[in-house]
Amino acid sequence: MLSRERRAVLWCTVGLLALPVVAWAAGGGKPANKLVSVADTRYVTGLAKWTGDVYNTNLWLYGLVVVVTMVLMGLILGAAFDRLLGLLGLELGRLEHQE
Amino acid sequence: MDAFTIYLPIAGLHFNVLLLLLIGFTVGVCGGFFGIGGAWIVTPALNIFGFPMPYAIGTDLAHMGGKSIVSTIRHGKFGNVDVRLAVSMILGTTVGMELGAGLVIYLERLGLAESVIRKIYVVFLALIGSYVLYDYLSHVRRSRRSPAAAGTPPAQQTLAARLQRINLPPMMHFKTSGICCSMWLPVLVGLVTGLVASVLGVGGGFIRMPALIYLVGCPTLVAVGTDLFEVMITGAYGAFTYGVKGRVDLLAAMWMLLGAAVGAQMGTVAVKYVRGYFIRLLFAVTIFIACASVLMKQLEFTTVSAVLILTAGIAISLVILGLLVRGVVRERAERRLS
Repeated sequence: MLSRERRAVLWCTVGLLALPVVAWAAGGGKPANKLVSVADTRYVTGLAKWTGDVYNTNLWLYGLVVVVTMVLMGLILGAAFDRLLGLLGLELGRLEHQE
Repeated sequence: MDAFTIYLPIAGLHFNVLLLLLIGFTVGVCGGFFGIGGAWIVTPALNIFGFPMPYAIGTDLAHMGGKSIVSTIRHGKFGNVDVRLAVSMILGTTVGMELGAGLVIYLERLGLAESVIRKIYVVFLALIGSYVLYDYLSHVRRSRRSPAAAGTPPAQQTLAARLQRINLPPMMHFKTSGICCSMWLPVLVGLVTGLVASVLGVGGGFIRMPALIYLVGCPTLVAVGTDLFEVMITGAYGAFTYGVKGRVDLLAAMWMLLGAAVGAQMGTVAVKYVRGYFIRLLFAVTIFIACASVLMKQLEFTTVSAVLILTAGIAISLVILGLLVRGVVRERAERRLS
C-alpha cells in the first residue's frame, strides 16, 4: 500500500502531466509574444539537436516536452538519491516537529 | 575548462556545465532547507553569466518544478507535507496570482509598475526578515528565562492562534500540521500571498513559508514541506507556460536539475538535524541578503547585486551542508555508542 503522501505526490504528478494535455485539447491560447528566435541546430548533435528541432517546429510540443522531462527527471533523481541516502545508513523515517 | 563548455542552441550561447551544476546545487540546498523555489538566486545568476532575462526566468522555473519534486518526496517521508493544507492554499494562491497580474497591468498603465514594485519588494523583504528575526530573538529570551518552555511559545497570544479561533464554517482539521481552523484561513492566506507574489513577480516561497508559520500556525518543518508542495505545482505550470512561449532552455534546465536534485536531497535531510527556530534564523539572514541585493539593483548596481546574491547563496548552502555533516557524524557516533 502506498502512503498518503506518496499517493498525493503520484496524483499530483499525473495531474501535472495531464495539465498541458488538457490545455492543448481545449484549444490552448496564443503565446503572449510572437516568437522571433530560432534555435541554431547546425553545429549540434544528439539531444541538443533534437530539442532544438522540436523548439523550431512546434512550441506547444516543446512546452509539453519541458514539463514531462522535468517531472520525470525529478521523480527518477529523487528516487535514486533517496536510495543512495538510505545506503548511508541514516534514520530517514518520520520526524518529530521540534521548534 | 573548455571541455566542460557546451553550446545551448535555444538560448544561443556557450555555457559551462560545471557552472550550471553549481547554481543548481546551491539553489537545491537552500530550497530543500527553507522550502522555497530560489528564483531570486538562479535568475540573476544565470543573467550575469549571459542568459537573456526571459530565458533565465523560464529555465529557472522549469528546473524548479523538478527540484521541488525531489524535495517534496523526501519531506513527505519525513511527515512534513500537509497535503490538505497545501490544496486549500492553492485555491487561494491561483485567484491571488490572477488578481496580482491585474494589479500589475493597472500599475503599468499608470507608468508606475517598475519603481513601485521594487519598492514594495524591499519593504516586504525587510518586514518579513525583521519579524522572523524578532521572533527568533524572543524565543532565545524565553528559553534563557525558562529552558523548559523554550519550544512552547505562549500559543494563546499568537496571531495564528487568534486566527484559528475564528469560527467560520467549514472548519477543518489539518492532521499533519496539528491545527484546526476555518477552511477560509488557508484559502485567504494563499490569496494574499499569491497576490503579493504575483505583483512582485516571484514564485512566493519566501512569503508563503513565514505566512504558514505566523498566520496559519504550522510547525516550521511542516511549513517548509507544505510550501515545497506548492512550489512544485507553480514550477511545473511555469515550466509549461514559459516553454510554450519558447523561453526555456531545456538542456540548461536538465543540467541544473541534476545539480539541484543532489542539493535538494542534502538540504532536505539537513532539516532533520536542526530545530525549527534555527531554520527561522537562517531564513531571516537569507531574506536580509535578498533585500540588500534588490536595494543595490534599485541603485543600478546590477552586477554587484547578482554577484552578492550568488555568493550569499553559496555561503548559506555551505552553512547548511556543515549542519548536515555535523548531524550525520553525531548520529553515527550515537549509534555506535548505543
